[in-house]
Amino acid sequence: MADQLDDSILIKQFREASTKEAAFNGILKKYQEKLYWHIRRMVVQHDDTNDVLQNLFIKVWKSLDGFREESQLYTWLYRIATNESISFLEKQKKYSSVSMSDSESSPTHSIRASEHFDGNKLEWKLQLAIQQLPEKQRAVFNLRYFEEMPYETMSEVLETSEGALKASYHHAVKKIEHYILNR
Amino acid sequence: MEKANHIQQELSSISGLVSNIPKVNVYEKDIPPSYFSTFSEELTVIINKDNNSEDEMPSIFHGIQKVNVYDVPQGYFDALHEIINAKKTAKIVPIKRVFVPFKQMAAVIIIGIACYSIIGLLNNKNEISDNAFTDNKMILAEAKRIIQSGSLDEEIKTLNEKDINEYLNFYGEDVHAALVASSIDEDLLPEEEDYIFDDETLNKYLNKFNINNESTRN
Repeated sequence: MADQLDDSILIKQFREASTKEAAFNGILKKYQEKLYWHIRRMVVQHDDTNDVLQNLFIKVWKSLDGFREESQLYTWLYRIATNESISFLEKQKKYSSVSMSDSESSPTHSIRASEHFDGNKLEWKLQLAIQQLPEKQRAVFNLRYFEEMPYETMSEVLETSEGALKASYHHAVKKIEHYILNR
Repeated sequence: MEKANHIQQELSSISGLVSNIPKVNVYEKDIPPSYFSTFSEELTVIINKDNNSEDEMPSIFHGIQKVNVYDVPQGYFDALHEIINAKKTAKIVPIKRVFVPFKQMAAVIIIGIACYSIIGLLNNKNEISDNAFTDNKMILAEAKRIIQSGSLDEEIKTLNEKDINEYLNFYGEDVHAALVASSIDEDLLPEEEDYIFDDETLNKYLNKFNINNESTRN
């Protein structure tokens, strides 16, 4: 509730020319880290995450004036972050199918290329398994597992029914289990 | 990174293996130091640059006068709203509904020509008019086979001008295509998806006009 109140104050301040920049910085400071990790788990590489995060906040700067507050700022930001990540991945896939450099630009390759990667550790296997999921299902799993987001909120973020999200999460966990057991 | 109880319970009920994976942020060590403390400053620079770039134009534009080099017909804008309003109320005929019967009509004509040359090879072409019913049945049976096997394009390639001319001289407008074309009611045409879900869609449609019946009597 405190968060909600803060957000509505920040939005109000953003709409005043004199407090616009301060309010935007407040939103940035409050959400940048959470959104960074959500995007990072989707696109994997830091540089790509940084690009997506910057684009996201530029969009927020340009369109927050028109935000109708039908949903919370928090869910609106997560929705943009998820959509931006998915469209980034789709563009990357299209590009790699043209440039034939699929293996190098894929998230799986990026995970394996990390200097901290340890293929024997379950937490790294989990990351590889997550990358096998379709983009939207990846978002469902990450939001539930890492962000521990309630299905009700996820439903607003992903604009999908709670029932469908529960089923998608269930299938995602099963696919991950299957991947880990067979590698 | 602790797992909340209800999330952990939910996970355990789906997969014991996944629920036992330590919940650690594997990317944590892999991000530049002070990234989050400098991010907002970097972003502010980008946004300011972006805002300024909307006003600032490259120097090449400074010597160019901002004039409109294009003309529009006289009175175009006065009449535009009327044209648009007229188009808003005009009936729009979906293209696919026109396309399907044309394809079928074209198929029957082309198959007819192809069969004409086949029959011509089997029989003496002069006898065709005497055996018109038998020939029609053969043409329709062959048409059905070609449509079902999807080899229409291949059949078109085999046609030659002589066969086309002879066929048209013989049958003129009295071709089965005319039957198909004349009996078309756009509202009765199957939807595009119907062809995907039901192989018999085309047969059922042709049966309505008693075309397929003739060919299946063979």
